[in-house]
Order: sequence, then structure tokens, then C-alpha cells
Amino acid sequence: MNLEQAENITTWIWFTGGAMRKIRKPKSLIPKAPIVEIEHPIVEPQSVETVFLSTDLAVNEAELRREFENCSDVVLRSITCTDSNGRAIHMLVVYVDGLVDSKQLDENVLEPLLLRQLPTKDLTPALWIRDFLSEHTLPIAQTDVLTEISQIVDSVLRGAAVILVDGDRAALAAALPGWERRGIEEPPSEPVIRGPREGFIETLRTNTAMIRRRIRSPRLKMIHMTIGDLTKTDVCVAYIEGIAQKTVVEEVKSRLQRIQIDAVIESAFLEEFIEDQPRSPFPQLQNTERPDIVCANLLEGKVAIFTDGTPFVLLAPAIFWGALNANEDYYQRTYMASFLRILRISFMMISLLFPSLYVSMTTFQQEMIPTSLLLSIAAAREATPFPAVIEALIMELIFEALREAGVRMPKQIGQAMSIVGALVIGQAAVEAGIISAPMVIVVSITGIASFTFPRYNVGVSIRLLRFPMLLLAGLFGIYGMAIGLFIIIVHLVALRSFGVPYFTPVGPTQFSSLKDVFVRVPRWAMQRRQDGTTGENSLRIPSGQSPGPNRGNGPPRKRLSRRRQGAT
Amino acid sequence: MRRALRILCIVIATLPLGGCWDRREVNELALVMAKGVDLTDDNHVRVTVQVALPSQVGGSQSGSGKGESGKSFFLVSATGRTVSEADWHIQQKLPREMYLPHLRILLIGERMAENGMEDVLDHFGRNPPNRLRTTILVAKHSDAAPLLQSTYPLESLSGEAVRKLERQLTGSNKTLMDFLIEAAGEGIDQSASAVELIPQEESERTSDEDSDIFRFSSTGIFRDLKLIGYVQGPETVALQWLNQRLRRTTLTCPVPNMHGTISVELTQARRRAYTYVHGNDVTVKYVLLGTAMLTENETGLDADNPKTVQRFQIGLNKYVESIMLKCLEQVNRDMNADPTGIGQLVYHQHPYLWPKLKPMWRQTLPHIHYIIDSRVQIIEGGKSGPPLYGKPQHGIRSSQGNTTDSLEGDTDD
Amino acid sequence: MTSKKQTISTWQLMMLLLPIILATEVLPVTDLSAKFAHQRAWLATMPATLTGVWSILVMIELAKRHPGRNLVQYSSDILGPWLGKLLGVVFMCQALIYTTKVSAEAMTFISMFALPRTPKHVVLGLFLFACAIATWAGIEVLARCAETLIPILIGFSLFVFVFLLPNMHPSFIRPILGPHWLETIFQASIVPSGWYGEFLLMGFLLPHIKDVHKVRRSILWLLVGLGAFVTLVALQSTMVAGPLIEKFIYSYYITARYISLGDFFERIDPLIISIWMYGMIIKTAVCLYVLSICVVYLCDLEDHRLVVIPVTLLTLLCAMWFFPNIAQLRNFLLYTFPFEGALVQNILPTCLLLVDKFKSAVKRPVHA
Repeated sequence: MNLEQAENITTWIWFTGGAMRKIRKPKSLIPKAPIVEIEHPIVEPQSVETVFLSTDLAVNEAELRREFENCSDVVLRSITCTDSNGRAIHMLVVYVDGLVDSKQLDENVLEPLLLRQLPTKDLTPALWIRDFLSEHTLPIAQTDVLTEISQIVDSVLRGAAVILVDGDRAALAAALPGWERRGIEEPPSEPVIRGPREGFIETLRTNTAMIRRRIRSPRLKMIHMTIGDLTKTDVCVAYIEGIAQKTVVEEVKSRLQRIQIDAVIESAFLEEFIEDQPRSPFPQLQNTERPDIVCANLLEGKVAIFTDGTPFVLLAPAIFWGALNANEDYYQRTYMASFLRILRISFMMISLLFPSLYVSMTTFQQEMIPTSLLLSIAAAREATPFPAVIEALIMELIFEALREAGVRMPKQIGQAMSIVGALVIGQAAVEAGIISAPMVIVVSITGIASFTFPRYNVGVSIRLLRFPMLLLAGLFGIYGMAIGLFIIIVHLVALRSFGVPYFTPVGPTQFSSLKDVFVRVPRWAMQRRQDGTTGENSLRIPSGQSPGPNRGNGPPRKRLSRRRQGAT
Repeated sequence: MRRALRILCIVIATLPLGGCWDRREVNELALVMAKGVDLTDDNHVRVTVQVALPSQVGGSQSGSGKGESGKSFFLVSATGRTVSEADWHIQQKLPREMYLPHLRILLIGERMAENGMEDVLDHFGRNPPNRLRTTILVAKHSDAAPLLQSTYPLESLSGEAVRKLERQLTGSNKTLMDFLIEAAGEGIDQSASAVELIPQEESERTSDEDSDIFRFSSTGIFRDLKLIGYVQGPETVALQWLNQRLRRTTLTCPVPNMHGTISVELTQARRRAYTYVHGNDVTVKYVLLGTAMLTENETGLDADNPKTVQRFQIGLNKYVESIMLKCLEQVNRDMNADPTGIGQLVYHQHPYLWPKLKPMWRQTLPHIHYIIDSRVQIIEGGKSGPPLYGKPQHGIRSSQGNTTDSLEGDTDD
Repeated sequence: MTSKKQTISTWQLMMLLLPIILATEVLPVTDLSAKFAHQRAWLATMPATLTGVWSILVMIELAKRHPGRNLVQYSSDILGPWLGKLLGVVFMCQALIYTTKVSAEAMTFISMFALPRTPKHVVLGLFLFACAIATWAGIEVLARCAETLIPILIGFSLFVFVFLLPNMHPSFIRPILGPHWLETIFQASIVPSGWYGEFLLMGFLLPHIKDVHKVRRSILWLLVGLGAFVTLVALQSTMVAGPLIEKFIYSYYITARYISLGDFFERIDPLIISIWMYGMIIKTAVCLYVLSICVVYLCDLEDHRLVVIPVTLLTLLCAMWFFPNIAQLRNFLLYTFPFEGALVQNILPTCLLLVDKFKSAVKRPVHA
């Protein structure tokens, strides 16, 4: 899809904007048990009672000018047209400069109004607006008839041109959004070798369109809501009806609706409000910039939460093992993918345990180290002044600092930075005898291991947990590590994401779902969706599609199909 | 939640206060690589430990390479009434903690072994840091300390050298566990490889240093945990074979009706054993199975000829039978010990008869009948058929037609 | 109790019961049975499972008759409030014995081989801390922990077995027959039978099972698997250490630390300690859970979480106090536990079942 098409679809915002109002009204009816009515609203209520439009354009204009006081980007343009009787009709066009496609405004709004003859204005005010302007005069796809000042303000801020007509109690909103946006490019945080190169951008509608274009089914539902008293950020909850669990969808919606916040800048703002266990170090929602990942997850029965203004889409419920699945696993051959999975799992363990293992093996359980290796380590450690734990802590902290510096620095300086850091740590510290060489090796292996996570945020939590493990290892050796690991596992297993146990399918063991955890079986063998996250429809691929010489002529292999039928 | 957090904080805060009881850095350890136990003249135990010097052995930090000067280990020795006491006295001399789990070699001085191993074995079987995988060796005609002192050019640690030598050569690698199993087992006496220090031969000397070198050629035989003698040379091979511990060896044997000998390298050696008991009369039958590779052929015969190979085999099997018999007679009759575990075989195969035989096993031992049936096969003739040096000799095949049809060995007494 | 009824699946129940039997049995079982049966210790493990069959059948039958109620609850149902509570106290004491026994075993094991100089109460405290966290989280979390960790434990044990293959001497299990072989085997099978009686804990786990009628088959298969596994372990120890097994303390551990693969992978005992410790932690956590459930129902409390901390502290004290040294512990396991266990774990529930059956048999004609 090219950009223009995407822009066309962005006009949908209007529709859903209207739907939003419908949703919002019954909000007060929803029992707000856990929420205490806020005593000090974040934003001053603009007007307690709704102000309807007056028939007098001057009054309306004054009202709008008052609302948009000191808003230099809001344009209120008065025009005068003539109807078929030659009578002058005063109109006011209100829009935000930059949010509205000015070319379209010129061609499709101002030109018909000013240059064409308008129908006689002798009907009741509302009807004239609706029947003639909207239906006969203006070639615009999305229009809406508004009657309240607050609605006008809202529409204008969403990128509409609102036309007020003298003598009418209604105004016409024409959706002409046309703000500048970034082009669609490959997301730098999740690159692939094989796979789609598209990434989400900051515009909600473009993003939802990318999904809709991939799943062309009316069962893909997208529910719109607005969150943030000031930002009025559009948020879209997408799921596939029949595949997603209804309870999860309802839970996501109700948790989102409960949020009371002034601004939503990034989807992380929402994430922190809707996760199950806010004190957990583990992220309970997945985020991604890639439409293919979102689609794959929607098809597994997950719910996607799009937020306007950020390319990061949240996916719920998330499970721990999902953090070790890269989207490319599904685009590669199964052996390679399975090998990479196992590699990632082992390196996850390394990233969590390796420094503490080194510390506990060199300071508690020296018997575990092969003799010749122990002699080398002992030789390397002869001159070092610090105990191994302290050494490990120092080195880990320096490594984290280097990494952080590398991320935040401008690219050119960042490289210099890492060179200096590598030299300081790797070379000078060892040669000066301050740090032992094996420790440098350990820290660098751990560093590499922590970058093997396809999902950055889970990698970060594992990296953080390394430090308590290091302390435990320094205190009790391998025994302490085992206790620490046990506590982590208890936590992981107790954790839930939107009601789904976080450690599924290992935690509560679901044997049928293990096919996609430690290994990735071929696509034709992944016949069912993952247990636990999906609703009633769990069949993905009818059985017997394994390629083979018997395929194509005759029925699929009998043995397989019979067993599958028995299973269903 | 907040209270739990607070409690957790307190717990975590208190842990380091007293913590790290068992923590010891690698550079606070004295890694003991080999340990020798001797008996002193006043019946005390003298323990000698070989402590590695990591800066000499392991890769050095600044990459200056191994220091040419000095040994890679040093010895500390002390006496005490028990091994543990001697250990403690050693510890008093060491600034670093003596670390035993990496101990590879336990060397028992001859006098200690002759005096009885009970104290040593209890110490090593009880004290948790000691590993039962430690190889146990007897110092032949010597105390343990001088053996530990000598340096070996190939390995930086002489203890390591001894262990590797023992393992690759005899393959027995008798660990403490094996020794203890023999000590605790029914109807079996203990044996352990003996290492001796012999002066370097003239051709081996490279420089002014006048160092001795290790050799494994004999096995120490114990009776009731006391060393009573050694078996030497081919009998050691026989003993290891009978104990199923033989890994590799070279046998040199004559060929019947021919001048010259052949040498074979055993590539596989197993045995089966059967016992027959009639009253107090015990007969043991050993069937020796194995494969061998011809490495030398002095007879000048063509090893490519199946009949020749058969002749070699007969010679080899005769020879094997003879050394087996010699070994068994030596240990069972002369030493009145049972290191091959004939008693154990009886116990395994005739559990109901064993209780009657057991009390008088020592008296029975010299009168056991042996049937030895060696069935070693030469399956490889080496790189060449007939000797490469020989001139073509036509008709040599027909000249050696006399084959024996039976490969079965003779039944000796 | 917690307001939401927690449920576990049959597989989870199996994974919970597995460490209950295995974690503490595997380490001392071979050397304790070998005290009587010597090289035939591996034969003694199978007859011992008969106690398990008995216990399993009784507990499942009781659970079927009182669906959704636990042992303490239905003892009161069957015997009336006073006698029932008394029996409940007995079971509570048994649970306390379990927790004490396991934590003492873990403590001696760890402090002997891993942390000899760390004070025992610190080792024990840390151990019980981990257990208490799992107990606090409830039976569902415990079950998930078990099914995550127990397969690792089993897999690791099989690895140990494979790695030890080069060191095994099959001749060490000979002679299989011999004078008094049958008596010694049965004598020796009494020792492990105490552990199989620990299926008593099912009385507290079965109420969490959705359909009690379907579990019997799985549990009996589990028992067969357990018996086979313990036999394997005993065989492993016997074939590696031969006549020494009866003299070792924790012969399984000693033989496992004998592993050596190419001078590189050797002396792996800290790894063995930490992996077996998971089994012990899960077992202790389950026992702590049962203990706190007992207390909760005896005292009519709301939630088991209320008593987790006091119960854990009590266990800590008991473990320090009952078994001041390892000889005491082994003596208890060898001579006291099999008989005390048989009484509380097998005979009492059987009596309970008989009384229940008798009562319903008496009641029925009245209704008719």
C-alpha cells in the first residue's frame, strides 16, 4: 500500500470519532468500583453545561474565538457565498493549520462554496447543512453534522474543517486530515533478514490499515477509544472475533476505560496501567513495531492495542516464552528456527546466571572447575585486589553504563565511546592487574547473551535480575543461586497476564503448545492455536497437509487424519 | 505488601553482615595436586602435599609466559598421629587454605602400605573434601615424598605426570573408590599400581640435571590392607587382565617350532570366569578373550597367510596362559592373597556355598585348581604381510603347512 | 480458605506427588535399605511401593466419598467434631514431622557438602524462606513450579545415570539370590515403605482436583514410575559403589559425584545439590502448605497465608531441635519413621475409611 491510500483510510478517524462519543456516554454507567472519583480533575472542565450553537454566526464565532484564544494555528476564516436566490450567506470555516490538507480544503470546500451557486437557503437550518452542503455540494467522503460548540472544538482539533453557516443551529465538519507524517520504513529495533520490511509509524490509522490489509476479514474488530484528558489520544483495541478470548477482550477494554490520565504520549503509559502485577520486573505486555508480528499474534488470539502517536503496539496477553520467539523463526526453516530457540534459551540462562556462576564457582565451589582451568583462573587472579563478587559487580555496572551511554549518545560519539570503553575495560584494566582477565570474558559473554533476546524489554528485566543473583552467589555460592532461581521461578509462575498464566505452556504444562516453545515445528504441524490464549476456535490448519509424494492425488494420509479427528 | 517488603529489606540487609562464611577466593587457596602418605620411624604419619604454584602453571596474567625459573609446585610436609592431624600441621605452615578436592594422586609410601592402610582409608573415605576419584598408588621400595619431589619434564606437575602415565599405560587408574570396594568386598584382596623412581638412563639425560624418572611396571598386592609384595612385568599385565582393568599392553611371545618372537599389541582384553566347587575343592576357569594387532614379526613368516596367523595365535595364547598361571600361582600360593577375586567369583556364582568356604578361604587359596583358556585373536597383521626386508621367496607358503586344528589352550593343573 | 477455589490438573498432581516421594527418598534410600539387603537393595524398592498402593487407594476412596473436602474436614465429618479434631491434630503433627524431616535432611545435606562453615540456621533459614514464598503463593503456583522444575530434575538424574555408565560394574549386584535373600529384601523394603506412605498428603491435594474419579489410574502409574526410578537409582549406586553403599551417607550423591567425563566434566556435586534441592524445596513447600491448611481448618481461620510464617518458624525450630546431628536423623529415618509412618499414613486413614463405610452401611437401612 502506498502512502496516499493510507491517508485515505485515515479519514476513518471520523467515523470512529463519532462512535467514540457513543461509547463514552455509557461510561458513567460502568461500575467504577476500584476507582475513586477524582477530587481534583486534571483539567478544568471547559464548560459544565453543553453549549449549543446559536443561530447567530457572530455569537458562534465569538464563542469559538474564546475557546481558541491564543491558538495561533487555528484559523477562523469568514466567507460569504450566494445562494440561488442571490442572497448572501455568511459562513465561517474553522480549521487547524497543518492538521488539514490545505489543497483539499481549497478544492473541495472553498471552491464549491465560493464559486458554485448554492441551493436556496430556506429550509430549516439543520437540514440545509445536512441535505445540501453535505449531500450536494461538498465532494468529501467524511462529513458530520455538529450542534455543540464542544463538538466543533473536538473535530477541529482532530483535523477537520468545520463550516458554520449563519442562521443555522448546526455546523458541518468535513474530514480533511492531512498532517505531515513519517514514511513507512523498516523498524530499526526489530530488523529481519527474511520477512516484511514494513514498520508501524506514529499515525494510528496508517497502522490499523496495515493490519486490516493483512487480515481482510470483518471478524477483525477494532474498537476505538480516547484516553487522556488533554491529549485525547486515540487508542484502538484490535482482535479477531472468535479467536480471541471474549473475557480477555472485555478485560482489556475495561482496564483501558478505567484509566484516568492527562496525557498518553507512548503506549508504555497505557501498559503501566493495565498490567496485572505492576511490581513485577517482567513486562506483562508485548510491544512491537512490526505489523507481521501483530497479525501473527492476533491470529493466536491475542489483543492488540494501538496508540496514536507511537509506532509501538501493545499485545496482550503476553507469555514469557514469547520473549524468546522472534518473528523470523516462522520465516526460516524449522531446524534453524529450533536451533536458534534453544540457543536463545541457553543464552537467556547465561545472561541471567553466568556472572553469578563464575563467582560462586571461583569462590565457593572450586571443585567444579576443571583442574587446568582452575589453575589458569588462579594465575589470573593472583594479583587482583578485589574479591570476585565485587569485581563482577564493578564490571557488570561498567558494562551497563557503557551500553546505556552507547544507546543515548549520538551515533558518531557512541562509537568512539564504545571503543574507549572496550579499551579501558578489556585491555588496560587487565594489564594493570585491577581486573582479572577471566572476569572480562565472563562479562562480555554475558553482555552478548543479553542481546540475544528478540524482545528488548524482557532482556532488560533478566539483566536486572542478574544483580540480586550475583549477591546471592557471593553470599552462598551455587546454593544461593539455586534459591534465587527458585524464587524467580515462583514469581514467574505466579504471574498472570490478563488472566493467562505467564509461564504457559511450561508453567501450567500444555503439551500441545510446547511445539512452539523450545522448538518450532513445521507450519503444517502447528495445527492448533496455543492453548490458554485462544477462544473457542483453535484450529488453524486442517490436518494431513504435510508435504509428501502422496499429496495432491487421493485423500490425505489416513492414519494422521483419523487421529486428529479423534482429538477434536 | 509494604510490610513484607520491609521484612525482606531487613533480611537482605542482615545477610551480608555475617555472610560469606564459606567464601574463599581462588587466590586464597593452596591447590593440592598430589599427596603422599608415609610412615615415620616413630610410627607417626608423614603427609607430603604437592601444592601447585598457579603463576607458574596457569597462563600468566601479563602474558609473560611460563617462568623458566623455579618449579611449578612446592612440597609441604608434616607429621602427625593421623592423616588429619598431619594435614592440620601442614596447614599451619601454609598461608593459604589447603584445598583438597583437586587432589588427583594419593601416593602411599611402602612402609605405610606394609603397616596397614586403615587410617589412611578412613580419612579419605570420611572427610568430605576428599574425592574418591583420587588415584591411589604405592611407592615401590621408597617413601612417597621423594617421588613427589622429582620433576617431570613433560608435565609441569609431577603428580599430574604420574597420573597420566599410570592411566595411559596401565589404564587401570585404580581410584580410591575401587580400592575401597576391594577392601569392603567379599572374597577379594586389594591391589594397587606401584610406581618406582629409577635413575635416568644415560641416553635420557639431557643436561647436568641428575633427575630420576618414574616407571610403572609392577603392582602392589595387599592382604588385609597390608602390602605384602609385588607382581612384576608380564604378571602385572596378567593381573590387570584378570581384574578386567587392562587397557593396552604389548606382549612378546615365542612362536612354537620357530625361531624368533612376535610382538602384539592388545587392542581388547576381556575375560570370563567360572568357578566350580566340590566340597572344599575349588576350580576356577578363566576364559580370556581379546583381539591383538601384530606389531613385530621376527620369525620371517608371512603374516598375510591365515595359517601363519593361526600359528602366531597359538603361540600368543600359550604365552598368555603361561603368564596367567604364573601370576595366579604367585599371588595365590606364594603370597596367599586373592587380588583377582576368586573368592568373590565363588560368592557371586555360588552364594549358598560361600558362607562355608569363607572362614577358611586363606587355607583354600593355595589349593585352587586353574583352568585357563586363552582365545585371543590376532585380527590385524600390521602394515605389511611378509617382512618388508625379505627377498622374494617363492614357495614359502607350502613349506609351512603344519597347522594345529585346535585353538583351545591346554588345561593346566 | 481463599475465596477462589484453586484447582490443579491431574498432571500437576502427579508432578507435586513426585518430589514428595522422590526428593527425600532418593538420597538416603539406597544406603538405608542396603543396611539390610546389601547388594539387593534395588530389589527392595519395588515391594515397598505396595505401601504406596495401599495409601493411594485409601486416600482416593476417601476423597471420592467426600468430594471437595480435605482430610481434616472429613475426619470431623466421619468421627464427629471432637474425635475428628483429635485425628486432625495427629495429621497436623504428621505434617510437621514431614516438614521437619525434609528441612533437616536438606540442611544436613547442604551444610555437609556445600557450605560446611555457614551456620546451620542460616542455611535452613534461606531454604525455608524459599519454601515459604512458594507456600504463600498457594497450591496452584506450587503445582506450576513443580511441573516446571520436576522434569528438569528427572532429566538431570537420567543424565547422571548415563554419565555413570562407564563406572558401573554389573557384577556388583551379584549374587541376587543367596542365603536369606527373601527375608533381607523384605526387611529392607520396610525402610522405603515409609516414604510411599507419604501419599497421605493426597488427602489435602485431592480436593483441588476437578474430577477425583479419574485420577486413580494416573497416580498408580506414577507409583510404578517412581518405583522404577528408585530402582534405577539403587541399581546405579550399587553398580558404582558395590559393597560400599551401605557404609556411605547419601550413597546416591557420593556415586553421582564420582562422575568424570574426560577430565573436564567432573566433580559436579554442587550442581547435583542445587538440582535436588528443588525437589526438596517443592516437597517442603507442599508439606508446609498442608501443615498450614491443617492449622487453618483446626482453628477455623480464613486463609492459609495467615499461618505460613508461624508454621515456617515452627519448622525451623523443630528442624534445629529434633535432629541435632545427622546420626539422629538417619536413625529416625531407619527405625522410627517406617513404623510411625505406617501407623499415621496407612492405618489411621484405613480405619477412617472403614468407619465411614460402616456408618454409611448402617445409615442406609434406616433410610430404606
